[in-house]
Amino acid sequence: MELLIFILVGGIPYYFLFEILDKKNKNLSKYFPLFSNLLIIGLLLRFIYQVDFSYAFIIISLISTLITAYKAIKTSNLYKLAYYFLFLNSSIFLLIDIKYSIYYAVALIITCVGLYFVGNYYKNNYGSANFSGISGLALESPIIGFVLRIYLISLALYPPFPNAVFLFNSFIKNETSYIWYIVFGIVFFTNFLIAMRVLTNTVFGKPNKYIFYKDILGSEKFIHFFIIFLLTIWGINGIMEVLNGK
Amino acid sequence: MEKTVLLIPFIPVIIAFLISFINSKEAISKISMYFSFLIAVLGIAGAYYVIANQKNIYGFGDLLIFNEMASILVVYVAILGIVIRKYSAKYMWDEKGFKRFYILLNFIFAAIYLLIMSNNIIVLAIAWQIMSLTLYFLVSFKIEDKQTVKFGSWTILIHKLADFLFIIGIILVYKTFGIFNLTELSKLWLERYEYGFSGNIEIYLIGFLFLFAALMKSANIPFHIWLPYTSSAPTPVSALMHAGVVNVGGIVLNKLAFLLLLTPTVLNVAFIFGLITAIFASIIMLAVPDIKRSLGYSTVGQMGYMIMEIGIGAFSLAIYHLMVHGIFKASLFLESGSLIHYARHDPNIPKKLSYEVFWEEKVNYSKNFYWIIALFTILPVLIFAGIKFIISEEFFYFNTAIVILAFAWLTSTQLFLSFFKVSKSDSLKVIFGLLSSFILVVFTYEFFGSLIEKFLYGENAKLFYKVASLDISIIISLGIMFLILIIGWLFIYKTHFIDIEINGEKPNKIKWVFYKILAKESFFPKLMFKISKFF
Repeated sequence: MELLIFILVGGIPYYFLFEILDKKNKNLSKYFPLFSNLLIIGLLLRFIYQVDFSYAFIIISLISTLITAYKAIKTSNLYKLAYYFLFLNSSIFLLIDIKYSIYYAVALIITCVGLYFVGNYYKNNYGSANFSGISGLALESPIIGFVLRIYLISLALYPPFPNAVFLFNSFIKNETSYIWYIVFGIVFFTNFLIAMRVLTNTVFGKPNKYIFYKDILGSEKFIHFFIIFLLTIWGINGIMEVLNGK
Repeated sequence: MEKTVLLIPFIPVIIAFLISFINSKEAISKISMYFSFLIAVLGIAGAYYVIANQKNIYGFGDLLIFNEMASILVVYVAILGIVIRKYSAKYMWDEKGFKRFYILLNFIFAAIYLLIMSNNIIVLAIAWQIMSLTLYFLVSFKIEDKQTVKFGSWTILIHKLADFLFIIGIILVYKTFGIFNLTELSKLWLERYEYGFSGNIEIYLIGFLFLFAALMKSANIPFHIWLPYTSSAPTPVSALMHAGVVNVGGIVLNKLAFLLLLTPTVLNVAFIFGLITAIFASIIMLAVPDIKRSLGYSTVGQMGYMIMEIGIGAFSLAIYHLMVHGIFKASLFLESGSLIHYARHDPNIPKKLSYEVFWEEKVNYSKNFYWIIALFTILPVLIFAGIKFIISEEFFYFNTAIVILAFAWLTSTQLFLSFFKVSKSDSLKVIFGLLSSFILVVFTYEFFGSLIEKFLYGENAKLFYKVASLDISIIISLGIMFLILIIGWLFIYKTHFIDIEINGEKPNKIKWVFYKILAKESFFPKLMFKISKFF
């Protein structure tokens, strides 16, 4: 059971397998829902069987984190980034206690869903989910620029968004050891660096004069703002929880 | 009723929210201004309440506090806010993203107020991180400029490292003491000190984590590189950054002052880092060819002084220093914006008062140089001793201040020399100006420093000096001061004349290598370019 959960939450970067299978048609958009569902199943199993992982598992998952970080740096595809972010945090899902690992995973999945939708926006307007060459979004499409900026801030582990808050709360509430701080340091910086890389390359920069920029409208805008509102409220609630000593 | 003061951190957030629905530039700047005035009025009212009743204002379940430190700093930041917003209204008018600028400006002010008024380490950590983020967006405001974004990434990288250390520090504080409340923590730390408890390894670790986080935020060497390279940000942002944001390290160390009573070594390390920063940054300032970057290094040097002051236990002096430095540096940056405006209309140097007083055409090598050195090394010591004797009850009670003042004076001379040509250093007007500035610095430092010390820490202030235990004798401190002045002056002189042949002799190779290291800013920028390559 330990091994199964370990694999499901991304202790081993099994996305490699799918990437190899998908080399020909490159249709990666379908895998994000699959991976996020597998992660939820893994965490539910961990909750049902009350599994706590040994440090050996956590150290192996750290290697998975680092490999994923390397791949995330190399890619400019937002779909891929959405599921890379899930695997980046695998060591955290195994390390922290069950309650907070579920909270953290759900917050992360919600944020990554937002990122995935931004990928859809890119695909629908610019032909693919690649952000390379599509810079200056904040100037030409301010709403989607703002939305993407918020998702990336959330993924870069800044408060008041729940990813940062629940990670912090889990450290406050539990007994910690050196390995906790090492994992925290690695996850903290890998998430931040990858999120900032996307931010500087597509939200910032000089607008590309050969591209016709379009901003999001109507229902699409509503979905994004709802996700941001949800994340903000949940994050503030998490802060209040730790302040009230619950 | 007095609890209204505690709404101060939320007012800028409300302004930002209102602004986001308005498109008229005039309305945006006016709303910002009116609310800033409201904050200033609230701050002054709060300060009056604290001073008159000698009672702190608590609120939001003790999460926020308006105490002695807040009554000084909130008013200072509020006035700074009014000036910057007023200036921005005209300066940013034709820039892209006027609304975005004002929203970010209000968010960073909210973070600063929250940090100053926090009475809870969690709130402190949140304010600390929000400040990092908003600073990044402000520094990278001209997002279409590749170079600006690159230098912005340097800023966020160092600030994120500071965030990490700070968060770990907060977690360890809670795990060690089991409390979030800062007032209770301060009492606990003071009690432990009075019971003769010396810090264990965990407490020392916490102290060092907070110190290094503060060093990064306050741009001390080797974490300084983000500050001189943010000059491409709009002028109001530069003013805010140099007058407000970089001081955060000093403010936070003041908020955690009683923790540092348990960790004397941390204070000594702070002194060493501050000392190195003050010397190194001041020297680089003279060698850097870019005027704006040169100003940046001036701020780095000043932050070095601030950390030095904390390192010798003069916590309240650091608060006074950051305020004074903030006012003159903000004025300098805002004035530089006006100067550029002047220069666009008239290619000559605008004939301002300083120009009229100090500008004298004279390019010959001064033969009276050694007399001038003598004058500049002996006179300040005599002046300092005289002022100390007039002001202090206990003559030379705290003699390390001499060293700091020597540095302060050196900085002011560097400013004069940078802006008014070293080749005029034998001008009586310049000498008179420098000595006057020194007397003024010493007098105000002594007078206001002791005043603020009594106000902030009362009788506890002496404990910090005792713990910092850098009790060097008068003779040694005078000797150090004398040495600093001589070295400083020699260096300044040599730096200036490095490109001038004196009696047909060219400077030797060692000097050129040294100068090259300085001119290349000790290769820190090169290193940062490599580190931030993948951004």
